[in-house]
Parts: sequence; structure tokens; C-alpha cells
Amino acid sequence: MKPFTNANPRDLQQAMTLVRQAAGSGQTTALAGGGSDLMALLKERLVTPDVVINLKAIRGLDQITAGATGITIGGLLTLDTLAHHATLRRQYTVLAEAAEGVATPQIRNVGTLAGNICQRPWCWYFRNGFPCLKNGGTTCFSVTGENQFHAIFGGGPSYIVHPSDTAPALVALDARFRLVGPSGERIVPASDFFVLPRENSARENVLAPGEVLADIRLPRASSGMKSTYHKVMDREAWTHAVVSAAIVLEMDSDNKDVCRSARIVLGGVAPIPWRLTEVERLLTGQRITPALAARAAEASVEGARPLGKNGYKVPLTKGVVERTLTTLAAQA
Amino acid sequence: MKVARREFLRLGSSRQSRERRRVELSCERLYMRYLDSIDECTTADVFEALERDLRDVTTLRLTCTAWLSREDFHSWIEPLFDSLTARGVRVVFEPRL
Repeated sequence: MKPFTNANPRDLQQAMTLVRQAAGSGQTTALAGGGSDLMALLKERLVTPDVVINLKAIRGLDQITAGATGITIGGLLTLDTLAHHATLRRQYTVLAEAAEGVATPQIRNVGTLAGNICQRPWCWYFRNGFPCLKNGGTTCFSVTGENQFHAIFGGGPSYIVHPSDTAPALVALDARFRLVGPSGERIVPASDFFVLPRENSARENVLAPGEVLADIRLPRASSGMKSTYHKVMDREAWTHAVVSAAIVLEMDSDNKDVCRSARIVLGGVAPIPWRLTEVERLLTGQRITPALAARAAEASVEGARPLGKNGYKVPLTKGVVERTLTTLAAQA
Repeated sequence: MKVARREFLRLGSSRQSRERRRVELSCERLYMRYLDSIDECTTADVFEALERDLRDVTTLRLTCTAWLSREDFHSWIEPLFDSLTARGVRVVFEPRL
């Protein structure tokens, strides 16, 4: 690991001053929340900052605030707290379930929501230092290489999959992100936060250098909303989704069997959380029967382009969508 | 310094009034009170009184929030939070405290 200076700012403003100062003196910086992803990147020398700015010392960034318009979750809230928060669990089940499925209890105790959303890909070519697109090179080695866990949607020129469990849940919940950087702050819808490789093959989101995901804002949950997250892994724990589905259904207030609107977002299959807008349209205004769920499952893989070794993800995606949808529709 | 008539009669100040409207509530202590109320069969009264006490609050800061994970307790407190947030009160959960 390359030696670095550790800085503990007391607030975000001071953190941004540190970013500006470092940039002014030609130094590189990295922002650390829980640090579980950053430490791995540092150890592998995939990032080599001169200064690590530790955000954990900042008070207030791990709060949950409920108000008239919805809930604001601080980016430094740990995944464990998020998974067990009673109000979030009842009103935004999909998010609590997604947080509960991340990695291991030890990682959930230190890993933060913002860190989970902003983590770098876990493609073995990237993490093992191959000169791929994510490491500043010009090739995605997965195209002709070991691509068992790579993208079936939205790939090219890079075929990484976005590794976050909470990101599909937040896109499904129509969350908005508050980003704070050296030149000010901005609010970005979760669906616009992630970028496809064809827009930027080196990065996975719109965060500018020195910018931090400060908090996540969820719209007020309606009484007719129900949601769930289903994750399929190649082993029982401590891994990312091979395929996952975050589903939020808004049921009709008069006829509770009828879906007024739906948001369905897949994880583990694309370089960004992959929204199924056509499937959502299919469900809108309909009673969700097993037959409709089967049609939705077929529609969910339209446009899939599997690589040489990940064709199994196509039927798996269909199965996950059908099962998750059927289970959620049956819930009271 | 301007002093509101009501504040003057209460021998208070606007600042004190503002501070009164920001309340900190320990979920641990409330949970203990809730347990007592089960024995006394006064749980509904306790939560009604709490809602009355929080009538003028603008921000409710909750500490020891891990105590909220008890489902039976949460089923009492959640309608209170819903009612407060619907009235525009900010309910802040402090996970670290």
C-alpha cells in the first residue's frame, strides 16, 4: 500500500476545503466512509491517493430524518442500521431487505449506504490489476474471457455489472441523491446517477472528483405501496447478486388487487441498476395474476445480449422477476 | 431586545421557546415507560399523553434508536411518528447515540 496522509474533517465544508487544498498542491485525494471498499482498492494499489479524507468523523451524516415530504438518510448510515430500522423496514421494505442482503454482518456493521452505492465494480479483471477500461486501459478482457458474472444488458465497451444491492432498491423507490463537492451541491435522481460504459467507460456514476454522496432522499411512502428485494447468489453469503430484482408496486386504493403503478429494477445484470420500463407498463392498471407475472418475466429479458459464458442469466432473470412479482402481489 | 408578551409573562425568552420546540427523546427511557404501562394497562394513555406533550414541537430528536426494533413497541410509536411528520415535524433518528 502506498503511504498516505489521513485527514479527519469536522464537517463537509472542511472536507471540501481539504479536497481543494490537496488539488491545489498537486495531491490526489480519496474520500472514505466505512472504508470497506476503499481499503481493498488501496491494498491492491488500484487507487493511490496522497490524502485519505475520513468522513466518519463528521457528525450528522449517519442520521435518518423523517419529514412531511419523505425520509432523508445520511450517506454514512451503516447498512446494518438501515436493515434493522423499524420505520424503514415497514415503509421501504425493498431498501431494508437489500441492505440486509449485502456481504456479511461484519461488513454491514462498517459499510455505509453511500459506500455501497458508490463502490467500484468487482470484476476480477479490474480488481486484479489488468489494464482494462476501468483501470485506464483500452480493453474489456471479459468480452472474450471469463464472463460468467458479467452484463447481459447495457454492456459495451465495458461489461461490468453494478455490484450494489441498495442501488436497484433506491432507483425503484425513485430516490434522489444530494451530492456535495468542492464547487457546491446538487440533487440528482437516483436513475440519473449511474452511467453506462458507453457514456463513460472508466466510471460508474456522475460523481465528479472530490464529490461525495451526502444523503439519500426518499419520497413519502403511500399507504398502497408495497415492495421487496430478491437476490440470487452463487453461494449463501458474502457475495454480490448474480441476478436481483427490486420491485415497488403502488396498489389502487379502492381495488387493492390492482396495480396502479410499478417500478422494477434489476441488479447484477448490467453496468447500472437496470430498469424494466416496458414490464412496468405491462403491469400498470392490471391485477397481478400468475399468468401476467409469467408474461412480465418473458418481457423482462427482451433485449438481453449474453456473452459466451453468462447465458444462464437470461432464464435466471425471468425466474427472479416472476417469483418476486408473484410473491409481492400475494402479500396483503 | 424584543420580547413577546406571552414569553414575558412566562418569564421566558424567544430562544428558550425555540429550544422548547426542539425535543430530545430517549427511546430507551420511553421503552422502559412502555413496559411499566403494560403492567399498569395504561399504554394507550401514555402514548396519548406523549402526543399531547409533543404538540408544539418542530423537531423531535430520537436517541438510543436501537430500542425501536422491538416490534410491539414500534407498533405503538410508529403511528405517533406518522402523525408528527404529517404535521410537518422533523423526526431525527440518531443511530450513534
